[in-house]
Amino acid sequence: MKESLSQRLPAWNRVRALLIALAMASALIDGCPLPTPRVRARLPPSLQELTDRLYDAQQIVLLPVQPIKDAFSIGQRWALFSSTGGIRYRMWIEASAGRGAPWVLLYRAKDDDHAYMRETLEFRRVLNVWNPSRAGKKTSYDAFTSWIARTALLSEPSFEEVRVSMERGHILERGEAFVPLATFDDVVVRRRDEVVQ
Amino acid sequence: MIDRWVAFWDRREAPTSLALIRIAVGLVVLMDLLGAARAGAVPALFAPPPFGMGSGAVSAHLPVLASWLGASQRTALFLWWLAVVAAAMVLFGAAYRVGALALSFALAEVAAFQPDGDGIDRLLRIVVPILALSQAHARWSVDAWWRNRRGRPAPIEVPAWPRYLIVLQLVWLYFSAAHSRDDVSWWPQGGFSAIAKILADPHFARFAPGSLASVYPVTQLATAVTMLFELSAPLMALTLTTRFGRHSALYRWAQSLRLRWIWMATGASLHLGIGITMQIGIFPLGMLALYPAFLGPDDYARFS
Repeated sequence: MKESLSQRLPAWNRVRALLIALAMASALIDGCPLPTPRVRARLPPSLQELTDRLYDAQQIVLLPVQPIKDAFSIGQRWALFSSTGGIRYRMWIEASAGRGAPWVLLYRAKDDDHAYMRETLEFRRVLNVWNPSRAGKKTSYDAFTSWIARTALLSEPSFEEVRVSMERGHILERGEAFVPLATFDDVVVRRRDEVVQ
Repeated sequence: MIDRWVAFWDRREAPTSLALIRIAVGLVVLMDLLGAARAGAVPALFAPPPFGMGSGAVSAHLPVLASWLGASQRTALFLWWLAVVAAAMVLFGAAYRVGALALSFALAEVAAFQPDGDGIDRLLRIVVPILALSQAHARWSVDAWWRNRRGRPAPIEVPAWPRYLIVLQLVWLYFSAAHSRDDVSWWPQGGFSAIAKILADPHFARFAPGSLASVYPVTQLATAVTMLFELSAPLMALTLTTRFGRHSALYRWAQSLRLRWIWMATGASLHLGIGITMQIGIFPLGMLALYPAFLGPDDYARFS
């Protein structure tokens, strides 16, 4: 009788094939295209409830691999440039000599006249920290404001405060321009005594 | 069925693609880390506030290095050096396994110290451990040179499963990116205006926002091609399997039109376009570093 291929292979090969199958199944479940929060908000209540149940089921099924996901901070939902329209932002960094003194613009994204620490701020890992995502400000945004305030205040002793803010803007339909809306989100003011010990 | 599954993941092939990926990934990670230092972002990226912006260094779940060495600028610098040395070991294939495992650890720690990474960071945290388990150092590496010198040459063929997994990961990334786009501007009803809008976003645009508005139809075409390219990724995975389905009509049709090469060229062009027009760091290069995974032994035989 002809021996099957898997019987002829060492046991490890079967274990490896099984592990790969499990990894692929976990990845597919993790990356399952369940409605995003924005899509969910547009669904009728019954489908919203179904979506919530599916998310719960997904979490339960992925429980065994959650430690690996946490250790490596990985996931299989790849929302790359998923949000391009609506409100967009332009970061401002300003400094002031103290209460009542005027704010001096140090840096503004895509503004050649205000380019304080541009090379550092626009390095992709730093940009990722301050550039808001579709979910809002990033986890490290507050830490970023402390760091940039400390850096600016140490380099310029006459300043007493640093303000970081996100100017709201709208991008025209054909991408002709970024139109500022004169309102600001995520405004953080750091004083010298907070960040320079 | 099970036998075929086991046999598929047990295939062996020349280590050319895996070696190319190893070198390219090592180079891209090293360039990124050195770029961080050149930009003056080290150790600030990983240091605790207010000395840096590494919010993870003071979070409830401390990174391993922060719990061992404490959260400080010195620990942040140590992490950077660890990643640099490990990336160089991967690039040159020197003590490769140790280097690749160290890089896997370092990349996970980077994410723990600085949680605000982007897609390419996440992709590398998946791919580098896969590479660490591969024999990507069997060619064009210090390790292979050393083995040859000692009269124990590196294997001519190595397990192919790491390359297959990288192919599947890339294919899934593209497909997932496409179906995760719930913004209407990526779709026909939104006029395929997404890329034009990204190019006007002050945080992403490399050139002054609006300066490319005159080529709006080109950006519309680029948006449509991007979506078509990404949504068709699963079909390309099918044409990549050289044994399964070789006699199928779909495979023959794809081969006759050289669809796989057109698809890869489209992907490479899109990434180059992104790299030229957008300010998103190593994402395009990081993706292209993995493209050798799409090339199998047959392709190299054809080149030679």
